[in-house]
Amino acid sequence: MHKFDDLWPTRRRRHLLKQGKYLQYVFNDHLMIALIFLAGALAYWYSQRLRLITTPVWWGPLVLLPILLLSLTTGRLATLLRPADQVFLLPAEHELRSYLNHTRIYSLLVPFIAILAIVGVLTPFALRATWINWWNWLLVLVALLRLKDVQLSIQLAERYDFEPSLKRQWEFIFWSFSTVGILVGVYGWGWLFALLTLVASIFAQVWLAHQLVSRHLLWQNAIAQESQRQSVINRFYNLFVDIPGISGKIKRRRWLDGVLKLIAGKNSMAYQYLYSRALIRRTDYGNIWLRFCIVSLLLIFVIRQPVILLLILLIFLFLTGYQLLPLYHHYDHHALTQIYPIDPHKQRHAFSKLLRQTLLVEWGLDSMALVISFQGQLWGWLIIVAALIVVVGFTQAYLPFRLQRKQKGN
Amino acid sequence: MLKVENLTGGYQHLNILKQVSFEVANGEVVGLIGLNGAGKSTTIKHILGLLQPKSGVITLNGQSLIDDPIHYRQQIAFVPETPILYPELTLKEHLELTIMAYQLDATIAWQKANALLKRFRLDQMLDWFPTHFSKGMQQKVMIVNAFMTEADLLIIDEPFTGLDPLAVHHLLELIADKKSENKSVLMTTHVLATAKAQADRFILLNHGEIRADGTVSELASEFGVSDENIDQIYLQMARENGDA
Repeated sequence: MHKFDDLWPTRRRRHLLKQGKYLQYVFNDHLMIALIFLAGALAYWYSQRLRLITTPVWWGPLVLLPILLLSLTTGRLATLLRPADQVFLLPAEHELRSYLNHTRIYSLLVPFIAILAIVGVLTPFALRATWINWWNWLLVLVALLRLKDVQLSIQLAERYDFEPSLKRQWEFIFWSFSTVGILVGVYGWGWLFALLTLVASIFAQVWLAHQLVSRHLLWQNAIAQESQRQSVINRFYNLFVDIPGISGKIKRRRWLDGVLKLIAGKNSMAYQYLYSRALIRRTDYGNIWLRFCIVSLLLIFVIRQPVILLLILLIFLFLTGYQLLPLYHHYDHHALTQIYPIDPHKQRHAFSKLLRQTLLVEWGLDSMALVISFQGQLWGWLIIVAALIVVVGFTQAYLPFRLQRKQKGN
Repeated sequence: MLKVENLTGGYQHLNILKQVSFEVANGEVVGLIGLNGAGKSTTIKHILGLLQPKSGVITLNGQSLIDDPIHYRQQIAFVPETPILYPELTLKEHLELTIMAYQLDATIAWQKANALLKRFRLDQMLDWFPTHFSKGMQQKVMIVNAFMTEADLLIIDEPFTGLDPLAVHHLLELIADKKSENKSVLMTTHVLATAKAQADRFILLNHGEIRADGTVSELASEFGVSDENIDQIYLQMARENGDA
């Protein structure tokens, strides 16, 4: 029915479609606004620092080394293998070789972009703070891209049944070579780094390809690595949108049982009991709150412009409440909640109370950070008061209005 | 006591039940039996109020769901066929929620719950998430939740599948206890041989209609099979339907 050659294009298409779908949510999310502000603040800080450097400094190359090494760790081999493959594709292992080669080339895309971006950001620093000139720096970039390609070849070979000690040796040789090469490069001899890398990489890749011929794929291992890789990506997407299989992760969080008792109270009503547990134990709700708290605390210490900070914090508090609204309907389709003799009128009350408490805690954390950051200046107090007004306005005015509308919509 | 009168209903555009009428008296255990798709679960969903009847009336001690939903529901406890649990609640919290929802006296309810937990060997699992349990253990959690209430009517959907033989034995004992407390029990089942130990009466559904209603021996004589081979009635009914 299907040709084996179609396997890779089909999988790649499906994979890209899925990524595209989820990335939409990532880029549409409110968190992106925060990240843009954060990136802006960092860029400003970077440019201020750069101004202080006029001549090369001894520590310049030493700053570049770890960052460039880290740039090599971005992106892993994406084989897109799936659990059922070990049953259905097992007889076609030989044909899988060309498939895996395609995956290696495809896997270059993300790390290439990342390395280009990192080297791009470092360029003004490298040309100011070190003795390297621009064409040697360009050759460092070429060498890095070459090294990434070799690394993916090694990762591909690691999916085959070579001795584990041999695999460790490859890793060791790769990272030693990279470290020495980058050092040579950042001290000005970019051409030497590039030349050595070119020769060594061609040799390594030919040798690996030759070795692979007589080896067998470690199916379970390869599939496990791929699903682990994908689950990392999916967990990231899950911060923005529900991913089937990932979403609704539940953590016991025993250490928060005290907090649960505090919010739900001793003789709490059923809905309060349920909502508080969903909020604290389900990562999809709890993380929304946590995310906004952490980012706003960061911004309080990074952004020095009080008006902008005020606007961001007010938006954040509003968005926290807004993004937690779906929790109201979390139990609507649960059969037990429908069967149990629970008064539905108490539902709205319980939800408002919980949301009020949640936002007040966030406000409290922000306030403490503001007092420290502004050291008791007037602006700090002003922001604290304005934030409290937003919290009260949201829970006392906006929320009842929203819930009323939702009720009617049903 | 539960009274179902001329119940016609089903899912939105799909009528499953046609003019079903039956009663479950206080202190009576009734088995609702029938082949897959006969309408057993649909009947239960109507009694629970998860589906709205097209026509007909369901009352429990003279009250209907529309008159007073909270009071109506307080009188029913339900053990579903597939366990329905809250993924974010521990076993202990499920029991607490039941106490809250049914407004039970916590001390008495916990006494009952602890006895039940011990009987089903769940007493060491209170702090765990039941969604991680095996299917049989989840079923036991649902049983404990339902049997700790003071509900007048217990509805048990397919109680015996997935339970180990010891648990089946315990469940039959619990049903007998409820019976002696003058409570009503309505259960659906395929396992007639087990159910007949406690069921006073069986209602046999076929294509959404009541085909037969009576004790084991009454059903057996109606279908011309012996009491010991009561499961043969399904085969007889299938022959009537022209399926076998």
